[in-house]
Formats: sequence, structure tokens, C-alpha cells
Amino acid sequence: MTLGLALAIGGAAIAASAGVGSALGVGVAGEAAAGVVAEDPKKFGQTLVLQALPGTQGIYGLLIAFLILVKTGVMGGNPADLTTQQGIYFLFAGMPIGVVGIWSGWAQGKASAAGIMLIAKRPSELAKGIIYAAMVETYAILALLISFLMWMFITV
Amino acid sequence: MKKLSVIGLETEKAGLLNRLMDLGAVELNDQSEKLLDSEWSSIVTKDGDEDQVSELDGRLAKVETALEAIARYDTAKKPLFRTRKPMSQKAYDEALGDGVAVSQEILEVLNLYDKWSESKSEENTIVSTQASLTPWLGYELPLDMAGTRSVRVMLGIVPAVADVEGMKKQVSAASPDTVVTVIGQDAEQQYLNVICLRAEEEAVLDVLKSYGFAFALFKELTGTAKENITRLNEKLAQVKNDQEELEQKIASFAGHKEEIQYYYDSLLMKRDEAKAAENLLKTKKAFYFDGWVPDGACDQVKKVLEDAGCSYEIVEPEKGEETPVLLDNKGLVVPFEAITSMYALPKSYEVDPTPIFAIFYFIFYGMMFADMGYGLILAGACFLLLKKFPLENTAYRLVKCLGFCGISTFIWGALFGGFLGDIVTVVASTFFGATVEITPLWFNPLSDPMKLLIFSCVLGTVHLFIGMGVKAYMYLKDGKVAEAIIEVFAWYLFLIGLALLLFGGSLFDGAAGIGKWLAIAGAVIIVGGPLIRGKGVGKLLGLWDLYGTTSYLADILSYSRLLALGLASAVIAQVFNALGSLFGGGVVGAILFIIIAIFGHALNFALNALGSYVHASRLQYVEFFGKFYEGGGDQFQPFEKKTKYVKLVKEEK
Repeated sequence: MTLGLALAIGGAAIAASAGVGSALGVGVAGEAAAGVVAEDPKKFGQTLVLQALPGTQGIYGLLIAFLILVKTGVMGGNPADLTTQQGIYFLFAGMPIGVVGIWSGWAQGKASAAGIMLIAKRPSELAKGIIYAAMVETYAILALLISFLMWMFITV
Repeated sequence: MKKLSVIGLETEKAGLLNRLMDLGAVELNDQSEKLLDSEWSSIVTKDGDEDQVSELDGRLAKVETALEAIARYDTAKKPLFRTRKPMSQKAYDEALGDGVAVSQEILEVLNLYDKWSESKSEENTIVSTQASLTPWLGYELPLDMAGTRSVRVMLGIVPAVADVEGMKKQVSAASPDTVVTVIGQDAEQQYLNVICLRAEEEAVLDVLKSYGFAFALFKELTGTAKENITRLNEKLAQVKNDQEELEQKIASFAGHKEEIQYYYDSLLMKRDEAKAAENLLKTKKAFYFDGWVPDGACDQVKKVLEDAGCSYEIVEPEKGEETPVLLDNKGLVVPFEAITSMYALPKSYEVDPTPIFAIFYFIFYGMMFADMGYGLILAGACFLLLKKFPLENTAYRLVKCLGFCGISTFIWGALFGGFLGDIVTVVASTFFGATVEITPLWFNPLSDPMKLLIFSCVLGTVHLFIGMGVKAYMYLKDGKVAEAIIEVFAWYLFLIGLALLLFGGSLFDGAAGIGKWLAIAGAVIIVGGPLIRGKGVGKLLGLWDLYGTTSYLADILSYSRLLALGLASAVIAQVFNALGSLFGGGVVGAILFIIIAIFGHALNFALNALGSYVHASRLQYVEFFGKFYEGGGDQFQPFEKKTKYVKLVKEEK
């Protein structure tokens, strides 16, 4: 295994770390949801939707990590001999979604939790709570896009 | 929407209200403001019978409690959605009957439920008494024994942190014959039995109290702790048994549930009718009310009013007057009203944006989900739902809207060549060693993402330009031509020019040159307009406006989510297909593949169906509505038969 390949795997690891943000976010939202459902069990479905929203960062991270592992041939058992430079490319490609994912997932979780509080008082305003949380997700999507384009244009 | 004012005779009132309720096409205005005006209040008073309304409200609450009680113990399977049962007025009246039997049933259910509540509170008492006795299980004397003539027996507690050994020493120093035994201990307390001579009781107590000793109290309990707990257990079983019997009895009313629901609806209508009268003003012999009528319903309302011999006036609202809003769309656009109403209804003078953005919502949703398999599942599920359940209003529209989006998802899936990701290719190569690929009708975004990125941004630009166009239309409607030119058309010139200047070179020769001049012309109008029209510092506002270019850039780039989410749903599907195929061919591999595929695609479907809905909505709400839409109109709420369980269908005449 070359140093380049090791670095590329490091890139996949960083990308997958976006799950940290999702875990924090889904956790924060879940705490709020449990509080609301304790008062009114019928709100389980609505709160679950809001709790699920910060979960996407982890998925985006998984996606980029997976793409890196496929392109470097680690998945499929046929690893390519990457140069150190190529490895660093992959390392950087994993960073946007990894770093942005952690913070945006967390922040989105807080917005979701606030949305859950919103529907505790006004169940009919679910859509607005969802939109507030989704505003945060925009930045995770942009990071995903950049990570993806970087990955796309690295030649192996 | 037209404004309606009516004066009629008191004798006709009940009949008129009834017919208006049947028609459900008039919104009654609240008249309390008029009564503040002395000119009005000297002639008329507020109509309506508040006592009757609150009496009906009380009855409604009782019926609701009864229905809830039945629903709780009814073991029959509950439907996924609560829908109103369609019935004709005639069938409903027949099913309702005179309401005597039903009232009796409701009373019985409430009676049973009261007994159940009592029994439940008894259960709680028993359980808490048991809990307080458990620590004393090791104490074998009767709890109510306070001692003999010369010996005193005491039971009490000290905090868990108290030093009992130290206490024992101090006690035996004060009174050597005293015995202190720790019966039990938990996280908070230690449970003590103290036996001493009556003569020394006070001295012992002094020591004990210094350690925080408090007497344990057993109200009216005789016998040992163990006996008591056994007895309570028997009682508990009895109480639980009672509860179960009561529950079964309540559940046995499940067969009458529908009758009770009909009765509830009849009360609800009576209440609403009584409440509607509160919006009327009256003199001794006449009444007055005003309200709103949708344009389409004027003729029907006129007929009803004429039949009742009323004097009425139907006029256009005054300019600038806010009226209630009733969205009135046709055909395929209607389901998308769900998206509009979730944001806010338009103000009465605004354009209803639904027919404008519906097609974009359809396209955006499909692009972000973009998979033939998911599209089929989504559309199938939604249309099946609509077929099986008579959904109404927002629920109906939302499900139908998602059904359309499923179709769009299928179309984009075909264009991009996705069916459950690349499941066909993976299955063919893993299990059959064959190479099969679905050829996309257009292209595979995974192999040329830049193309789709540009397409997304172009589509977004069109979307935004249409939004700006609506703004221009509203300006022109109000005769504000200059505003339309400066705030919209100049921006068209400027933005198109800028795009040509930057990217036009690859389209045709000289595009950059044309773009440069278009952009300059646009910029001149944007900066120049306020320079001519504005006053003071306002003259320079154009420069600030030009800075708004960055916000247009941000808006357009926001549409890159169409690409990003489309890729995400496709690649995640592929990830699960790839994970499933890791175990190779053969029977075991096939079973594992199916399990992983079902789990993975279900997860991906749920996440992306929700994500596409959210982000397609966001593009409308933030980017598109931001260009022109204000919203905040009030929903038209006609005086009608607002029932909860039965949907009264108008009979064909």
C-alpha cells in the first residue's frame, strides 16, 4: 500500500465523520421530541419527521467516503497505486462534507428541536418547522456538491 | 370575493340560517366593532344565545369523552387515516334518529368510565401503600403495636446518610436496655425499629431526633407488613379485575360508536348554528348581518335570500380592502395548493402563485429523487391511498401532489437511467454473470455532473425570472410602469448580459460583446432610475441595489441542490446495491442481497422522499416567493356544516 492510498483512505474517514454531526443533531432533536411526545403521544409521527432531518449529513458523508473507496479500488479489493499527491487530493476532497457535516448536522439538530417545540404548541405549522431546519441543510448540500466535484475531477 | 349585507325579518331568521348553512357559501363577519359605534348600538343589539352555545359545548365535551373511552378499549383495527364517512343528508337523518337511545348509551359509557377512573385511583393508592410497606417486610411484629404497659415499640426512619452505629452507641449510653434494629435500607432512608422502656422514652427520643429520626405512620393498618402486603395484593387483583370488566363493558359499546359519532356531529352542527347567530345584529323584529360571498356562489346566495324575503346588497369590495381568500384553481394544479397553503395564503390583492410554480415543483421534486423504481413506489402508494381512503382538503391535496411527484420521479429516473440505483446491473453481474445496463434517455449525471449543474442553474434562473415577472405584472396592474422597468426588466437585461459576458463565449462568437452592452444598459437603468426619481440620499439607492447582484448569484447557486440531492439519492441506492453484492452469488448471497436491498432502499426512499419534498418546497418558499410573494391572507371560512365524522354529500336534485 502506498502513502497516497493511505491518505485517500484518510479522506474517506474524514468524509464519513460527517456522521458525528448527524448523531449530535438527531440526538438533540430526539431529546426534544421525547419531551413533546410525553405530553401528547399522537405527535410521534410529526416529531419523527423533524428528528430525521439532521440525519442526512451522515448519509452525505457516507456517500463521499464510499465514492472515494470505490475510485481508489479499496472497495472491490483492487487498490490502486496512488501517488502521494493523488492521495492528498482525495484527503482534501473528503474535507468539505466531513467538516461542514459535523457542524451543520449539529446546528440543524438544534433547529429541528426548536421546530419540535413549535409543533408542540401549533401542530399545524409542521411544514414551517421543517423549512427552518432545511435552511441549515443547504450548507451541507453545498459541501456535498463540492466534495463530489473534487472527487469527480481527480484522475486515478 | 363579494361583500354581502343583509336585512331580514326575525321570523325568517332560523330558516335562512339553516339554508345558508346548507349552502356553505357565506362567511359571516363579526359585528362587535359596529356595536362600539353609538349610531349602530342605539338601534341594534347583538343576537345569539350564549347560554345555548355553552350548554351545547358542554354536551359535546361529554360525547367526546365517551368516544375517547370507547376508542381506547376498542380492540378493532383502527384505519391508518381518520376520514369522514360520506353520507347523504337523508341517510344521515335516518341513521341519527331521535337521539334518545344514543343519549342513553352515552350516559352509560360515561358512567362506566367514571367507575373505571375511580378504580384506577384506588389502584394507585394500593400501589403506593405497598411501596411504603415493602421496606418493613423484615419486621415481624404487627405494625399497629405501640408496646406493652412498660415497653415502648417505635417504628421510624432516618436519612440514609445518618450514622446508625454512632446513634446506637449514644442510645445505649443514655439507656442501656434500649434495642435499635435496622429493618431495611434504600437509597434515601434507613428503616428502624426501636424498643425501649417507657420510662426512658423521652431520653431515647432526644438522641434519636438528633439523628433526624421521624416516626413512620401507618394509617389504619393492622397486622404485620407481610400480612398487609398480601392483603393488598389480593385487593389489587380484585381492582384490576374490576377494571378489566369495566373496560370490556366500555369496549362492548364499540358497535354503537357510529351512532354516537352521528350524534356528535348533529350536536356540532347545532352548536355552530347557535354560534353563527352571534354574528347577527337584531332589533325587535329584524336582523342584520354582513359577510363575504365568493364570486361563483352569488347567484345561489341571492336565491336563498330572496326566498327568505330579505333586503340585501352584494357589492365589490372597496379598493384596498382585505377580503378572505379562497384558492380557486382548476385540474392538475389543485393538489399543489397544499404547498401554497403551507407557506401562507395570498393576500386578497395578490396573485395566487400556485398555477405558476406547480410545474416547477413537479420538475424539481423529480430531479432530486430521480429514480424509476422509487417513482413507481411513490406514485403507486399515493394513488392507492387516495383510492382506499376518502381523504379531504389538505391531506387529499398533499397525497395527490406527492403522487404527481412520483410520476415526475419516474420520468427523471428514466432520463437519468436509474432504477433502484443500479440494481439491474448489479443483480445481472452478481447472480447471472451478465452485463446489463439501463441506457438513460438523456444522460447519466454521475458521468457528467457539470452538465446537470449548469442545467440546474439555468432552470433556477428561469424559475427566478418568472417570479420577477409576476412582480412586474403586479406593478403594471397597479399602473406602476417605472417600478416594473427599474426593479424587474432592467435586472433581466443586467443578469442576462452578465451571464452572456461570463459564459456566452462558448455559445456563439461575439456573445461576450453583446452581453457586455446588455449588462451596462441594465446597470444604467438600475442605478439611474432612483437617481432621477429618488429624493435626497434615496438618489443613491440604485448603487446599493446593484450590490443585490450577489443575492441573485446566491439564489441561482441554491438550485445546485437539484444536482446534489439527485446524486445523493442515486449514489446511496448504489451503495446499498454494492453492499448487498459483497457476499457474491449463490443462494446465501441472494438472501443477504434481498435483505440488504429491502432495508437500504426503504431507508433511502424515506430519506429522499422527505428531502425532495422539503427542498422542492424550499426553492419555492425562499427563492421563488422571495421575489414577489407576500402572503398572509385569511382563509375564507364559510358558515357551513362542519362535521367531524360524517361528510354530508349534497343529493342530486
